[in-house]
Amino acid sequence: MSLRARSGAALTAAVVLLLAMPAVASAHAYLTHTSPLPNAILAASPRRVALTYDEAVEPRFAIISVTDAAGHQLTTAPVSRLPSNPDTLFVPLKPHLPRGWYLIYWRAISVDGHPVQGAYTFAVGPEPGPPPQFAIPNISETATTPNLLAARWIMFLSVMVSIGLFAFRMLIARPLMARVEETNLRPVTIAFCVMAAVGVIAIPTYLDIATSIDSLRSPFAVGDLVPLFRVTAFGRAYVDMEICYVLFVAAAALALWVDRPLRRQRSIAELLSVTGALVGAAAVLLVPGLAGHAAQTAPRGLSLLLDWCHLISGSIWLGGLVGLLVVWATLPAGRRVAGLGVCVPRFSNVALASVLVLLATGVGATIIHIPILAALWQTSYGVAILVKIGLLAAAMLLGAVNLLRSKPRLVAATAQPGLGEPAARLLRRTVSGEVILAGSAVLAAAILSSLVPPSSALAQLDSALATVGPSRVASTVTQNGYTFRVLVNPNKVAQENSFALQISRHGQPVTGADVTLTFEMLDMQMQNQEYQMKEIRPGVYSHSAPALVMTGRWGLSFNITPRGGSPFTAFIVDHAAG
Amino acid sequence: MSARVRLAASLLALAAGAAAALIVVLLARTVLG
Repeated sequence: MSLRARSGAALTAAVVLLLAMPAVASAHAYLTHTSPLPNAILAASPRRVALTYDEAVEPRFAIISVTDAAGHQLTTAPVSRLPSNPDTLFVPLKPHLPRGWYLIYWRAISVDGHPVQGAYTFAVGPEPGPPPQFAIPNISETATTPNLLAARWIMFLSVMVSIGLFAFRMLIARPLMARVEETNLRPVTIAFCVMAAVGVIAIPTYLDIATSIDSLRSPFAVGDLVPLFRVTAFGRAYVDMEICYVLFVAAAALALWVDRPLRRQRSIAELLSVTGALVGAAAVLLVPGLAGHAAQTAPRGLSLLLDWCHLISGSIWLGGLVGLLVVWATLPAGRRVAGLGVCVPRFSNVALASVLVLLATGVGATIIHIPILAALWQTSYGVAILVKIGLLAAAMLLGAVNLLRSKPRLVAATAQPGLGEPAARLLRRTVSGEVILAGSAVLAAAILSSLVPPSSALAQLDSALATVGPSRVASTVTQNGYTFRVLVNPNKVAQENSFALQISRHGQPVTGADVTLTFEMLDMQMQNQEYQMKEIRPGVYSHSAPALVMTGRWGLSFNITPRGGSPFTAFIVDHAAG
Repeated sequence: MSARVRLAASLLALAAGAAAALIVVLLARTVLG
């Protein structure tokens, strides 16, 4: 078999292996069972509230709040895990709750570190009366508090720039000292050391702040927080990332110590030490994917590979740009053009390849994470992607100026010295601009990876017959030759709403059909609710329930089986408001 | 700096890189199950 055929076979095998890796249904924890059930009217006061998730969420990071209409808290102890089922969390309630309606609000931390939350009501009967207007807890909360975001940004920036600076120093700028006299690579090494020191501090700081938010403690209560670091999969991954990063920094320091840049040919010791440091860097950059969305989004192998290549190419590009600025700023004025003439052409080729990989992997990851194109502008996750694309596109334009103008002039400056100085000035301006834009793109990425990706249920938006709300609904739609008049009154959150569907065909009411109505929250993962609708008049099916427990978009699926006909579903999106 | 010291330092760097890779492989095994 030829080398090309062997490579092709290996690549095909790798792709098949990646696609065959096990997939998971959802990136975030969601409820699979609740006790009491949503909107249940119980004959007696329950002793506890028990929520079962699809994964073993950590009770120390979970909230289960049970309040009455006046907002009084009715739980008597912190959240605990049910000994018989690790996926179930429960809180004991005050005994003998009086008749009336109660709101359960829950929050849990998923394995990837993101909070998920929801709310529903139940009543103690008999005759609990009409459900009151509950004060719905803030459900827009995400992992993006400003402190956490800043810590995440500084962490990504320092880790990526330090790795990129190391690669720039060892693989791109190394020939500088041998080719241009009176030059020194020490400033690049110092810049690497500074960024590495920031990175070593930034990773545990980020983990401390994230853990403090999840466990509702102060970020300064370090003694309480450290034992919680390894409680979640997210925490364990970032502890591992810190260990890997320290190992990388140690290997890089040894490689820099062993390196003799005045010798063109590297020794075995130099090659071994650089290899060790680069392997360590590659390991570090795999962790964010393992700790975040990539490892939870099918196909997981492909998603992880894209995330890894994205971070590697981003690090090489960003760190290389910072390295170029350091070289520009620290070279003696008389050697600047000659020095840049060595570094810029070598870096341009690497930067071009890095940017292409960055672009391809970014597009791939977007396709995997975004269920429909409209989610790009309809969800904050999509908007963050658009902002990041815009920033990177602007940075790439500046990169193109370097590639097409600065680089050829710096190369030509050996023959025509007059070209060198203006080209070096232009290079400094464009590279500074690129660093700012790429650094902002890392901020957009930090926001992006803190947000919950759009729910896969959003993919159904395309199949909706109509989008209605937020006020009272009276809409007419048609499907399969049937005409449906949908009525939702008053279409308010946490209130008893009346849902009615009038079905007709060729102007005649469709009687005797079996109609169920399923409620699916489209903006977050939560348990679906399903109700049987009663025919209250010929062709008019109705049900009343406080099913819209929170503001946002709800998917209303009317599952209709006409008498003697085949079942079908009419899907409508309802925007519910408070 | 003698050649022996340089080789020892480079082997140490290689071991550090390999240890980081091992940690990530173990983490990946746990996460991907």
